[in-house]
Amino acid sequence: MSDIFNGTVEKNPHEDLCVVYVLYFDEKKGQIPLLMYPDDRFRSEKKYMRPINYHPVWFLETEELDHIDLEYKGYAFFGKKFKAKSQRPKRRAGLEEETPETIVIIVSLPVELEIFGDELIKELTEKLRNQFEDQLTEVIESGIASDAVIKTPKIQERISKGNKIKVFMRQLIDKEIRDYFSRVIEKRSESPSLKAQKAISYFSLKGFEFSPLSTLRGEGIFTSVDLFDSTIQKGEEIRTRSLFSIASINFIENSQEIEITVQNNSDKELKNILITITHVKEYFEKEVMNQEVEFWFPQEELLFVSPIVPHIDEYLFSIKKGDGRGNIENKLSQRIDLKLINKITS
Amino acid sequence: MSKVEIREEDVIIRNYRTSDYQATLEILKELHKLYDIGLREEQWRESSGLRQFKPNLKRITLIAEFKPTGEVVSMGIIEGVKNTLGQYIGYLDNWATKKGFIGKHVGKLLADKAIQILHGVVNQSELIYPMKQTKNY
Repeated sequence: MSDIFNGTVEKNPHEDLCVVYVLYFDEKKGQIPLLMYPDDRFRSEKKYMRPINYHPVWFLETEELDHIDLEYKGYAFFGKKFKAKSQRPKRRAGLEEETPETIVIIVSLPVELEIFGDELIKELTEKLRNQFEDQLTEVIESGIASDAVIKTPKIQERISKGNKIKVFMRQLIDKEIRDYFSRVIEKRSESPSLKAQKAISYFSLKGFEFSPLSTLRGEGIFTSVDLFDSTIQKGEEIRTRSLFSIASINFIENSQEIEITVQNNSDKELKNILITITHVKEYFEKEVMNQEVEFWFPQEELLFVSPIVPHIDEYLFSIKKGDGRGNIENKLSQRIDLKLINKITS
Repeated sequence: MSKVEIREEDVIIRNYRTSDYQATLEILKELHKLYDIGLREEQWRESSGLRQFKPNLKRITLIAEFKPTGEVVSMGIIEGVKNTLGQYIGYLDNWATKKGFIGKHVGKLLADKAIQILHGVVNQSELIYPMKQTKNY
């Protein structure tokens, strides 16, 4: 069992679903991965760990923001940070044995599934914290001990103990992920938003079980959602139109600008609307447009024009609505890939 | 049509909507014939007259609709451009009236409204944006 993380690992079917990283802050080396789910092989690969090392979660104060996200090369990374009890001697002056450990949990999902990230990271962190908060220090000690050149029986025992805890942690992560996706897809499929439909399509594409004809259906299947449910009557469909819809997106080649036409679908005038267009550069989000719309007539279409940044092809268009009391809610997000949108040469 | 002046109550002044595209294109073409405003048809697209937001620029296309017939008889563009001091300076651009309605003061009615908007006398939200404009995409 102690070698569970070093042996050959078969491709886990949930690898396409999400990857979970549990990391801690080592006062000597920086951020160190404690475990990776479902495949632990890549935690020592610099290239694979690159987005993790550069995730802005490291700048997060543990008691402030809830969590922060990063989108990188088709994956959304959700990071959450918390403090855990510690009893191990620290290797930096000024730190005591009781100085708490800084633990970071990062969940990476394909962008098609990013709709689930917020809830998943919250639930996962809560469960890991509830069950393993007191034991994390032993896992960290085990990780440090495994670097020792000479492994005395005492050190070996420490390593073994830490590895055992990691096995239980992995089991919990595995169970939580299965339960979460099964539950959430079922819930979301009842009133599918565009994002939820996209996520269901992704599951289907990757072969997660939905078909009522499949022999794999039954106890223990991924979810009980039927992608093609013949019993659903057309009349039962309840369609709720989103507040905004994008009518067109064009790239004007001559002026190197993006033109986005958006309609207010509601029958009431909207106020305090914030429009942003951002892109990711070197792991940081940069704004190319930040525009406040004071009022937006019912059914009115507005045109947003923004210059693009040379050599950047991907942008994120967002519409947020303020409630006048400082709370801002995201109403629409749309990724824009210049290679895929309509081009106008005039 | 006679040269009788059109009264304020005979026109609706409102924001442009995409269904005004053809009518506004015709008006701009007429204007171009007379004054060579450099119009290229492919530049005036369906979305061009929508309320527009761009860094340092806001644009509204005003439309004068003749109430008895519902036709678009005049148009004009208000542009607010941010200057180096960070203030928006208003400009009136492409003011044009349909042939047959020229000389009836429709353009003036439209310009008066535009100036009121620029002075902040009329809040833009007091303009009419017809809700009947529904479109399926």
